Amino acid sequence: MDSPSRDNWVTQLRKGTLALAVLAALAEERRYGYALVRRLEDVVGGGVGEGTVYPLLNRLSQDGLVRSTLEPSPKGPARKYYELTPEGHATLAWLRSRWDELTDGLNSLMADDDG
Amino acid sequence: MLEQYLERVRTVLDGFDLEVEPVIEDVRAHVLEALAEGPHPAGTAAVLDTLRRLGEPESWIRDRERPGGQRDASSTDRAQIWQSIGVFTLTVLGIAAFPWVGPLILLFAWIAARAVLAAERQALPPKLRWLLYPAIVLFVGFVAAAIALLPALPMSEIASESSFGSPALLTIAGLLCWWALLWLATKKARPVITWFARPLLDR
Repeated sequence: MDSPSRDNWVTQLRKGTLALAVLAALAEERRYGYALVRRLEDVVGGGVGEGTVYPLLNRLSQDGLVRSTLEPSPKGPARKYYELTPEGHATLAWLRSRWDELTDGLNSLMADDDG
Repeated sequence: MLEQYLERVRTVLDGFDLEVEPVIEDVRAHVLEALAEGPHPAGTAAVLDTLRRLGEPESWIRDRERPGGQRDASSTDRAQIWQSIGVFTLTVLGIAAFPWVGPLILLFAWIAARAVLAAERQALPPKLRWLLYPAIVLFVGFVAAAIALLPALPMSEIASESSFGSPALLTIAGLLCWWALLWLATKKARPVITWFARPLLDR
């Protein structure tokens, strides 16, 4: 059964991987904020406040990893679309290799534990 | 309701190394997109649900480190220590030199304290923050007292020349009217006051 402290562990895990998830989701295609949040919800799941994405996008933008452009929306006000910069793509590739190393290491640890 | 939430976001994000207004606009756009998906017109329940899903603004940045390496919150470097001690020393000098150049020194101490807190808020240990708060409390208190009480001087002069009743009572009545005006003005100018008294009104 899930306890509050276990939920917190899961939330922390999701928060820790959020920057990687945002970069990966924007590598799939450029997205406006709400669409990005919906995509992340499909992949990462709930538990992390949806608003967490926006300060993160601002930081990634300040670091030159993403850029944004305003475009007209069929539904109302203009939408701000985010996309990866070349540096963002390079950072994502680097993070992906670190992620693979990390998950390989953790999987081998947990495989040992199963045995 | 939305504006109150956005004001809370603004307060929470202030002091972090972020451009606050673009984040606010992103959050506003998110809410409008979410409400546009639901039935029209959107009711209070829909707005509340959208804000609930966005989460507590405090949780968005809690424990978050800047990607690419901001200093760890537990680390204290020499610059932080010297900045905090410097501000505290200015505060003590301001009190000692009161009322002559003291207010000017307190003004510098207030500016320095605000600058250090704005730059270092995430990384600054609480024990060092307490060296900065006295400058802010004293300067804000001094300015508030000056605004509240200084009109008493011209009022007492006018009252002493007046033929209506006691000068003391007239001065008190004038001050009460002045405070009523201030109270009305503070209701209208809350963002200005919040900015001025930060970080004291952040929580």
